[in-house]
Amino acid sequence: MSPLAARARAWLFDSAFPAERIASLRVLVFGFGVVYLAVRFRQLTDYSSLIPSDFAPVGIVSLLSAPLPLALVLACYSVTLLAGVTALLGIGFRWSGPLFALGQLWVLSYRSSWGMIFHTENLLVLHTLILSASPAADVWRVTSRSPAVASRKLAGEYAWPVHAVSLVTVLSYAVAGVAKLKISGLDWVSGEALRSQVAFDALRKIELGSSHAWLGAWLVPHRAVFTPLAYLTFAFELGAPLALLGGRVARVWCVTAWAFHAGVVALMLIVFPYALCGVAFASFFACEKPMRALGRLAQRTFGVRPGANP
Amino acid sequence: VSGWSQGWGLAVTTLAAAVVLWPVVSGRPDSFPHSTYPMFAARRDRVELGNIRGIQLDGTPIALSPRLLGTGEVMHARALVAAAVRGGKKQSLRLCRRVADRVSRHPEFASLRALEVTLDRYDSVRYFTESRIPVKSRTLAQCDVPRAESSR
Repeated sequence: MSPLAARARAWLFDSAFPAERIASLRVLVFGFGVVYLAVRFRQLTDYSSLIPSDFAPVGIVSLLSAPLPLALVLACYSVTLLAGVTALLGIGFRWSGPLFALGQLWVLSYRSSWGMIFHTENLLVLHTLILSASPAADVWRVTSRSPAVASRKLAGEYAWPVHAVSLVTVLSYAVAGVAKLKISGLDWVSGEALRSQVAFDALRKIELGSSHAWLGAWLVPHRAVFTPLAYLTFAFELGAPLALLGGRVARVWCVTAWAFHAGVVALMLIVFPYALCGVAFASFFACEKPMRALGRLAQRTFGVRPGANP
Repeated sequence: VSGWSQGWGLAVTTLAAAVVLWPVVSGRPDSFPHSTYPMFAARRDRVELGNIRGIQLDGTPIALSPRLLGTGEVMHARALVAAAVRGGKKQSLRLCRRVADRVSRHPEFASLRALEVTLDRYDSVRYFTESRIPVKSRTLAQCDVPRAESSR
């Protein structure tokens, strides 16, 4: 095994996490996904006001050359949502997890196949795919069986999915920083590119009759504001991999990431709900601790109890 | 950790990382669910914006709500107009008529007599520091809003 592969192996498997860590991630990520799909029922199923020539398939939907009939769109959505609820409860997770992850990928890719890619959903889809391929329902699942595994069991097999989710998160931000370097070079930190983006975003929203970020529009004439913001953005994005060190570095990066997204809302009115509600960064924390209290409440209320996969 | 579990974990993690890194190395920066978010990487000083406006009875232009284009998302509405504008006058006219038909079914837009699809060039910063008038504007299509005889 090469030194790089050996270090990757050690990083992924040598730490021992409780099974509750990925179970809590499952509850958070799949729960977010289910609610996200449910509240967007109309946007994800009703494409009747769009015409077939607007169809521009992306990602996995590139397999199609024409839009699907409404009945099939509804069927995909319904099966995905049902699988999502089932996986969220940890029932038959070996099939319900991947079914939901792939269904969500399909449904959201289909939505992005009408001329506008919804980047706000990238991390949600990737995290769900990773967790669906992991033993994320060994505990905290609705089951008729007696609990057979201690829920606090520490194991390396529960560590790699958490690290993989964190890795995908930091890489997503890092590639955005690398793209800025590739396209604009170090000139990006002058702040002019950011200023023009904020201006353009507000301009197009005003011209298209929609609400815009008044703060962003108000700041555009103040050039000096954008230079420090550009520096911070660059440092936050290119420094994202440092969060994999864990501990305080990870916590600081996560808070910065949240502040970054809050800033994007304030300056451009672009909402990344998955990041803003904090679920995107849950893998950097011992999220099972606050979830245990909720889990105990769920056990008492709905009969949810820890159990082992057959 | 069993050998199988290690192999599976390594494979899933490597694949997930490769998907995220793919747009950087492939030269195809934007897809789903992977992107380098190229729209935030370049300067947007001088921009062209496809637009569709309503023309009121007194000739005043007004912005149209994205829902008249069949979507609640402003970015999606923009993408639909941009695609029509890229398609030239014929596609712009098709979009114009489609939206005009939708406008005619909304009584709150009774003051609109026509629509126009334009390609406007802006200086985005100047828009907020000096003037909101496009640097250059080209009309690609115009169409009347169909009205029932009884409502005239």
